[in-house]
Amino acid sequence: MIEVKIYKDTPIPGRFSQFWKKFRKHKGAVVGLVVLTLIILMAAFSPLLAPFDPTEQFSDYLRYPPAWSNDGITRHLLGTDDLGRDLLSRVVYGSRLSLGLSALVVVIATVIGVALGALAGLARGGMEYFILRVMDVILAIPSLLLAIVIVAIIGPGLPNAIYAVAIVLIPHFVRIVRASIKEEMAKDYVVAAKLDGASPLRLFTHSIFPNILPPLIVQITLAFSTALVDIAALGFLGMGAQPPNPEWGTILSQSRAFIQLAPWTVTIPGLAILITVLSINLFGDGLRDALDPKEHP
Amino acid sequence: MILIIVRQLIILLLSFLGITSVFFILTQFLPGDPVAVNFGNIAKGSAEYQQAYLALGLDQSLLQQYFIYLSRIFSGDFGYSVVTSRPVIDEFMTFFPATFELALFASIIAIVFGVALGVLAAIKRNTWIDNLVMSASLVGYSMPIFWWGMLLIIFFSLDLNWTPVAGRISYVFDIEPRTGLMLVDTLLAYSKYEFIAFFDALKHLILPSIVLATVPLAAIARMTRSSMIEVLSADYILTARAKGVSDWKIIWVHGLRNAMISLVTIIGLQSSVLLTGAILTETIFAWPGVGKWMVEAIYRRDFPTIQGGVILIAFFVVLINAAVDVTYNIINPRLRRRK
Amino acid sequence: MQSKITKLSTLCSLALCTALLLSSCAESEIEQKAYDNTLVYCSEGSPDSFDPHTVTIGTAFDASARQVYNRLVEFEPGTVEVKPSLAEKWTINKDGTEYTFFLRKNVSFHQNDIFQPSRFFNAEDVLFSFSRQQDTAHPFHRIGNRDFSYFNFQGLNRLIKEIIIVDPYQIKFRLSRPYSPFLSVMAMEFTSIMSAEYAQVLTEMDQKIAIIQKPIGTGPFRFIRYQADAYIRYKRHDEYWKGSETLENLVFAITPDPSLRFARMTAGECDVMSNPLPIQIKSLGNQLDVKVVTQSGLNIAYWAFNTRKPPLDNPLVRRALNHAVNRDAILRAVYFDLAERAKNPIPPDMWSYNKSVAEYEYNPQLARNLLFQAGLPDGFTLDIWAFPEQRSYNPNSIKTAELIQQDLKEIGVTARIITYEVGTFLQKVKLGEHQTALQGWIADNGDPDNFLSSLLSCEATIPGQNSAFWCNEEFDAIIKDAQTIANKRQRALLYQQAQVLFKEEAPWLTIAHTRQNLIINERVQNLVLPLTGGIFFSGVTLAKSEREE
Repeated sequence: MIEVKIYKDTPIPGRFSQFWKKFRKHKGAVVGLVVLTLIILMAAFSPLLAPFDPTEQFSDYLRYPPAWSNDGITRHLLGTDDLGRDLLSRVVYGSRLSLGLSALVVVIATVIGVALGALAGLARGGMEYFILRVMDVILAIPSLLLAIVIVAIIGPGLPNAIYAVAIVLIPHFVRIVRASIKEEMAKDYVVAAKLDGASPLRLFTHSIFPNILPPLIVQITLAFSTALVDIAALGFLGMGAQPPNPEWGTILSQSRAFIQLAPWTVTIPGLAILITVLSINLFGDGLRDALDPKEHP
Repeated sequence: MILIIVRQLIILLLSFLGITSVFFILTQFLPGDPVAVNFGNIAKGSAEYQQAYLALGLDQSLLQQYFIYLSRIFSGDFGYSVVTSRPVIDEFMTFFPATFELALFASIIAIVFGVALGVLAAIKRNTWIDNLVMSASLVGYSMPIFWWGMLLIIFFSLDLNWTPVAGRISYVFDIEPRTGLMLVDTLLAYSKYEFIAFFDALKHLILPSIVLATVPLAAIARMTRSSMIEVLSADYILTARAKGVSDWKIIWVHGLRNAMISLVTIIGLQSSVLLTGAILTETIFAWPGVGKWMVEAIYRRDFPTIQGGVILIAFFVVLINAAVDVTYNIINPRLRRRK
Repeated sequence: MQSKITKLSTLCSLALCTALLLSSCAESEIEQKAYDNTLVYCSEGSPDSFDPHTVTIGTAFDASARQVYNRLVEFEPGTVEVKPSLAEKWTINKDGTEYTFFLRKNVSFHQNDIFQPSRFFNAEDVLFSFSRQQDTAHPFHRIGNRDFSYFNFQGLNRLIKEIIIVDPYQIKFRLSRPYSPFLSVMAMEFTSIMSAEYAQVLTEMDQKIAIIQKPIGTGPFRFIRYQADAYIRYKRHDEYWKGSETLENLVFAITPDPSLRFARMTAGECDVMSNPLPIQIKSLGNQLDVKVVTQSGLNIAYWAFNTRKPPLDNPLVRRALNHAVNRDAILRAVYFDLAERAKNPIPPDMWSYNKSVAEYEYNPQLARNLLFQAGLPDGFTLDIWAFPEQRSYNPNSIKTAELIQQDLKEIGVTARIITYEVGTFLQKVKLGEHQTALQGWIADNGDPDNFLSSLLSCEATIPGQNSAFWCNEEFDAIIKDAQTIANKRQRALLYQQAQVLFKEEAPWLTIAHTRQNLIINERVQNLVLPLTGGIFFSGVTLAKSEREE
């Protein structure tokens, strides 16, 4: 059947395809997205991908170098650590912890941050001032220091490290959400909706929220990379995930003693952190350009 | 102008009140005897214990305790370290110069090289130089510095033996800590070692400050590039160029000066980043500064030290931010006019 | 224009490079001289205090007692034979309850910026050093607000009845009961002699705390300066009674991280490195300018079972755990075969060591059978406490715990590893909050009593050095008995009997006896390690050598 069209029809591209078109142009961002997707897949399917259990100790294969060096063996592609654990398996399983925990942290920080930010943006007056000052206080303490102090007070271990890093990230969300709300509130369509008698909550969910989504998404990617590095740093300082958990920072702190004798146990997990953070940042860069072209000419 | 400073002072005071209040509340929830928490182990029932008990106002209401606490903090009394039995403020003073020296050196590296690279990338926009600078800065920005530090130690200190592994100076030199700034103290000890100790201290400073400078350097380079590009495409630059003003002058006088405005903000933001980085850098390089001091205090559960240290560090950050805000207001003509 | 910028950055880097070159090429006499006169010791941590009477960890004794102070008697280097020090000789009465020490004359104390000694060492100083620890009302008792752990722990607070100054150079200790290890105890670090005159001067200045922050002693090195977490600096004591040292400057470079310490050592930044990891020793092999100094250590690493907590109150369960752990694997992975598997609570170099005690061999099947007998066929869950710091008796407790955890899985026991920072850890273990704990002990003196009654007597469950909280009346009676006998042969027999009993009851899993090792630069000479652990720099000399860059 032949469909006859009288008018030449150019479909108006949807928000997403508009975004995708811009995003695609950003080569680095696409690379970042691809690598990030691979890492997420690695985390999701670690039991299938990892050749061994991450805590299994091959006591006859202590500190074997990676397969490409002279003494390496192919059974342990990235070599083994000081307890004879397969490094590849540890790094693969570690991606679960590192990514999963960062995701959890970001979710917590986003929910609380957006709620507080909305409150501050809509409430004004004393409440707004109070929230902002509290956030300023949090911002005034260097993030890692705040996190380790929180961990120091509530005790080391994973759950506490998660709260600590989340608390550190909240102020950024609050600031962004509040600022965007302020900006949007002044716009005509909001004023119109207000005149129609929309409640503040409805105003927020229906009119404002969709418009502050782009900066929020950018902030989420930023927070994600910060969370990843901070969790690794806590692990490195011995205040995050505890051994034998194969969290990347924890692996690093454990293998620090072997920096001269088994340098690959230091370089490989660090490289994993770097690649992951780099891909998140690349992706985030592209996202920002695509979502908010005016900020970056 | 005065208004701005007064506003900043009020914010400063409020932030300070906030931080101290947070700690006061935390102290209430901390397990253990409040006297021990603030003064270390004093035998119960002794006269000193009673004195400490009264000094904390533990026989009075919570609100009164809070005011006593505030007045103690404001008079610079942060209690005594549980471990060393020395006043926390004294301890802070011995560790702070090391961090200050490191952070200052790192800031200089970050600003000088960050701005230079950013300007270079902006001028050479979309060439391979730009791409290289931008890629490198993204890598730098994403760098987990605790790993980066270890890599540099492996390469420069252990393989090449160019730089020392750790510390502020070779202990062969007996340098009396007068200012706490090693570079200054070594110069003060000139009669003993001439410039040798000074250069040794400089050599110790290089690797840690590069590590600490990495993330801010990358951030500054990116920021400089984008604000430079913005400025360079502005009408007044085009006009200037049309008038035949030299390229160098355009970059230096018009471009950079205007780009500076946004730079000041980012440099202000970096003070917190620098101190966070200092915690890790100092741990890796055994650098005896406040970052390492804090980490050790936390390992040792030395609460008075943790409390005093965090309050003082936060105060310092707030102070820098206030200074940056004031500077920003001064150098930004647009804001100046509005006020 | 960009060329200008490039030029600028080239200039900058050039300046930096010149600075580097200048400094690395400066083969000046000044530097060489400083290098030849200074020994840098990379130590494992900051001392918690310079008070030899209250500190308990080796790191702190190294920093104070072993360099700055002397005792009345001391151990002959490398042995546990007691020989004269500040006391030239001593007499013991027939009952073994009165020890009279005859003090050395013309022994001078150090000086510092606030103190200039006006007199030589005499009996007043000895009295001060002991009554400060014993008398709770003594003005210097509370300085630093710390416990006199060793004094009380060795039972001296109850043992010493009276200290009498007979004349300025003769002092008498009256004991409440005969106690044969007394002389060995008097060689221990916590009996270091402080200056009573210094205390008096500080009291007048209202700066009592300085006695533990700026220590004054009679030892070979005088304290100059301490910067927390960075360094401690000493200079030789020119009027040292044994004769002034040849080594002029001594610096402790505090480097807690073992990999960093090793890196500093191999880079030539330190001359002596404390507590090297076994793997670091193994890797040294072909390094020319450094070598390992080793000494059999009087120590033990053990896994204590809190016998007050079920099911560990059942000896069957404890024996099962003894059979379940493959200690050879621990020796390989953690100690890199540089330690000896332990059978008894005391090390083989100590007199009275019982070679014929029957050992629990690694046998998971047998372990399961024992658990079955104990009524735990399905196993149980268990907490293993370990602290995250390196000790000479255990280079990596956490790793040990991980290996044990793996082995316990085999017999159906699910283990959790619990870690605390050392201070907290020790405190909690003292209170018996743990179920099991990985710990160790280094001899303070050469006496077996120092192990058996300090770690396993009923009395030690009260202050809590007995982390198994194991109190066996028969065992207790034997070691109490041995304390009152002067005859070494008879005592040895009793201790051998005690070891058999210990093994049967299995309050611990004995893991390893390590050797004490140090890595030193070739230029360091005459460094003799004491059997009782720690390090003394007295007598050490530096050979002249070109500084490597």
